[in-house]
Amino acid sequence: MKKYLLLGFILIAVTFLFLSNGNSNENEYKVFKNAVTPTPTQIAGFALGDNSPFLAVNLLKFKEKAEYDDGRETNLTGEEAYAIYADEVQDHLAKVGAELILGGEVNRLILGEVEELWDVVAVVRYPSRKAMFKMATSDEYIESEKHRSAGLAGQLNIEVLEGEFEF
Amino acid sequence: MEVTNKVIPNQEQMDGFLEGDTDSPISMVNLIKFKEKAEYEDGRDTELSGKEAYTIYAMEVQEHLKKVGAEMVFGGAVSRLMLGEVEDLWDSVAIARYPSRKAMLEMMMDADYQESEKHRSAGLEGQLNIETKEGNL
Repeated sequence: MKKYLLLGFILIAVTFLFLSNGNSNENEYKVFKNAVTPTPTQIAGFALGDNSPFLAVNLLKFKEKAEYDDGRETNLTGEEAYAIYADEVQDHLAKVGAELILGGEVNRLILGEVEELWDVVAVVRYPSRKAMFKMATSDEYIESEKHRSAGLAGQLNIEVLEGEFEF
Repeated sequence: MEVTNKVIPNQEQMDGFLEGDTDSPISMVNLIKFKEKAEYEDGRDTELSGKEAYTIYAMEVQEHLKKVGAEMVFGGAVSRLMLGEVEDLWDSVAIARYPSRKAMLEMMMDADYQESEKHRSAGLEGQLNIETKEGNL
């Protein structure tokens, strides 16, 4: 009987240690907001900084039903409308020397917590900020972008400077 | 919207490694936030920053990845947010591709990996790790 009590105690102690493991911010949540269009500061950022290659890490959340700005009737889901954009954008990317290096559906979160998990992650490599800006302001891109904003509830887009895992 | 970075998975997240499709390739998207100063669990003295301690882990983990047939797709420093708002922006993003959930679990359970992991938890304030299934876009 004593043995079981001791075992029980050890199990509780180990669980406690595991739960309190090192992280001082264990339950501190931070706030984030997905967006469809960049702020003026974010747009201005394209004119600043050096002209080196970077990765754009897109965390995407779709609308349930697509809604086009021009009010057209549609039976598409948000994901379906965005898929039209994703297909067309490949050409626009190629024109400025950019490429999609990863696109995938989110299965689950294995670490951390998010109030509303994103649907898809897409990573694009651009040769420079200038190249991305050039694409985003071209007429053809703006035509394809209608499907993007029709399908997209919001997103984060994180700019990452690639290195051999040197931070 | 709320987001909480963590250092260790919860029980449900651990159980997930053995549920559903455990045999198909997955890409893990790590959004990483470092501690200012490294803190080792064994209480050792260190002058390392969180980022420096994590970098030791990042170097060593390459071998552990290789052993289970996984690889790093890319890793880099976050320079800015181009779209959206985040209260406390992550420091770094790293993506690793694993042949399966099973392979990733195998790596995490390996004694050599756990030795390297000491540098990870010393340097890491917290992270999100998003499991994605590639090719559905």
